[in-house]
Amino acid sequence: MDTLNSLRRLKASLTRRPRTDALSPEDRAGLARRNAWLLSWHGWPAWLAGVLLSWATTGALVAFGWPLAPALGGGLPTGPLIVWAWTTSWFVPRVVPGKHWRFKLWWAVAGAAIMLYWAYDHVHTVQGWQWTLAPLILFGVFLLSFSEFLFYRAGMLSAQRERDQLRLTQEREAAAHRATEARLKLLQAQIQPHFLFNTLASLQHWVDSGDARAAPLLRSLTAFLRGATELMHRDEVRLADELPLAEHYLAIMQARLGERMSSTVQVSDAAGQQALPPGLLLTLVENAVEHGVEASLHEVAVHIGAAADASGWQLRVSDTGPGLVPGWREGVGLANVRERLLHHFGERACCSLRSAEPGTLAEVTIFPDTPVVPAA
Amino acid sequence: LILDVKMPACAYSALVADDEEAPRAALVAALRQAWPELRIVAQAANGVDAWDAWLEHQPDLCFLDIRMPGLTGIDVARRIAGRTPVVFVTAYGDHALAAFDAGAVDYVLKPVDPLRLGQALARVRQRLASPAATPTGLQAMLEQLAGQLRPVPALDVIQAAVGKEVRLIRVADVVYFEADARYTRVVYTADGDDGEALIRTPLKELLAQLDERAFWQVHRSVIVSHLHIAAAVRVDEGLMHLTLRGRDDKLPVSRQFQGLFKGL
Repeated sequence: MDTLNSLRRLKASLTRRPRTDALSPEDRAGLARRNAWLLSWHGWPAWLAGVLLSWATTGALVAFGWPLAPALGGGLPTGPLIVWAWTTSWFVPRVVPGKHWRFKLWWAVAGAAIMLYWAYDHVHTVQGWQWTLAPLILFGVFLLSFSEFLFYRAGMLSAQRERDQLRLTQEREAAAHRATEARLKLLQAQIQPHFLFNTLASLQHWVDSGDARAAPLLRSLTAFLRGATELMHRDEVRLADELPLAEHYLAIMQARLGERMSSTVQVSDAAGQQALPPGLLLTLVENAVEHGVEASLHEVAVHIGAAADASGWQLRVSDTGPGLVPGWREGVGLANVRERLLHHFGERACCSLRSAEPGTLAEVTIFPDTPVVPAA
Repeated sequence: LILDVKMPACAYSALVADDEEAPRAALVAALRQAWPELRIVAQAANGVDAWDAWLEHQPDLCFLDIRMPGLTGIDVARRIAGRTPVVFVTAYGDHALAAFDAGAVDYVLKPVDPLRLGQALARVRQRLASPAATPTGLQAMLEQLAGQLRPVPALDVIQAAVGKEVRLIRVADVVYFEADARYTRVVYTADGDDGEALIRTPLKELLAQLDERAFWQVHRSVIVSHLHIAAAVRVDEGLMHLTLRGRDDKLPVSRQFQGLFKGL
């Protein structure tokens, strides 16, 4: 029963938790790299060193007068053990404690080799094939250090490659993360709770009071929300595709603000085909309504205009509101517009916001991809 | 008059301000439902009208939207300075909400929920019953919030048509502004010469663009440059007027503004 229990314990201790679990991911990766290296043809010096060291140790034991069977039992595992310890120490430096572990190991093996050589010289029982043992041991040790050199060269290269790959992946992930975040922010900015609840407040009242304005407002709101969620997930949109979204927004604000606002749109067909990062037009229109119309005591007109010609194309959103206040600062919306223009077009796009007489004019200009060559 | 007779003597009066028509009407309807005795004496569509209406009607209670053109609801409340309980009406997502929660300010969210409105009204009724209970720190909080909202365009030059010419009057030269029917009379002194002009901008709109520290509103229809005030003279219990430096003009100070001249 005791034997059975100890066997069970042994089995449990073996299966409970593989030892690699205690290792850091880095060390585990090192072990995996060692195995891969040993199994590839790059690992031949290590295998050869193992065979030579086993051979030499067995031979040495026989030379010392051991019978063949114990000599084989003691000598054969020596090579694989040394190779295993040695290669592990390269790949998983932390497994072997101590600061100068590699020197220690080196000296240990070199010392063993010298002692064996000295033993041969003095015992004088060397006969037959056993005279080759000492050079074989030395050759095995040389092979080990040679394979260590090979390994380090390969390891450094692959580590470099891995670092590059990792950096590239991280950069790509960070960029994707930023883009997603920008999109979410955009979506949030576009559908501000304040806008939504204020619109619902009007809607609620008109539903309660049976006002005919309720139905068209609800339709505009639905179309706006649908359009916003759809468009904001694209990488770019044609101006003509985003224009309806801006118009739904204007229709909602028109319903809410009544006579305080009027709007006009004038977009040429050529300009309508042009691509923009999504939400850009809407941001400009929202700015015009928020800072132009809603901040004004008087009626304000909002105008969206876009035109294209040989020297590029231009989008303008203007309002006849109070204009830029002295000491105004660029808000989040406009900063976002700039960032996305830069990201999308690089130096080809520019964006400006200035006082118009009266009101404010936001202007986005996109220059063509290739510089315009003047006709000969 | 007949209506007034029907009203109970203790009926409170209220001002409702919202720059959007539907939410304003919705609030008025909800108030009529929740508090039938409350008289809504004025409905304002922007901040300057709200302040003007407060001066004109002296309501017992105000419902102010926060984002309004001219003066924001915060600005109006700051001017009211705790003399009348204020309930802010705003939509979810307003930056001021956090401050309101911290300062125990009464507010209702749009769209108005009758239950929540009822709770806010119950608190206001308590406050009306014991007028001294203005939340402490309210004014400081409003000052801070007002600073965070958009900066008001500071007017520096006024254009006034006088006969065939358009005169440019530096605001710094103005002695006082006085409301005159639909116009505003600008009395100024430039290079030793006194002048007068009529401009079309109503006084209540003008006041939102003037630096409050330099131009004091002393009456619903008078804003005066404080540098030109010589003395505040109390005539009787309710009446006070201002004399100006080197001028014969006398300007009235209405009861709401007499606190400006405490004579420390």
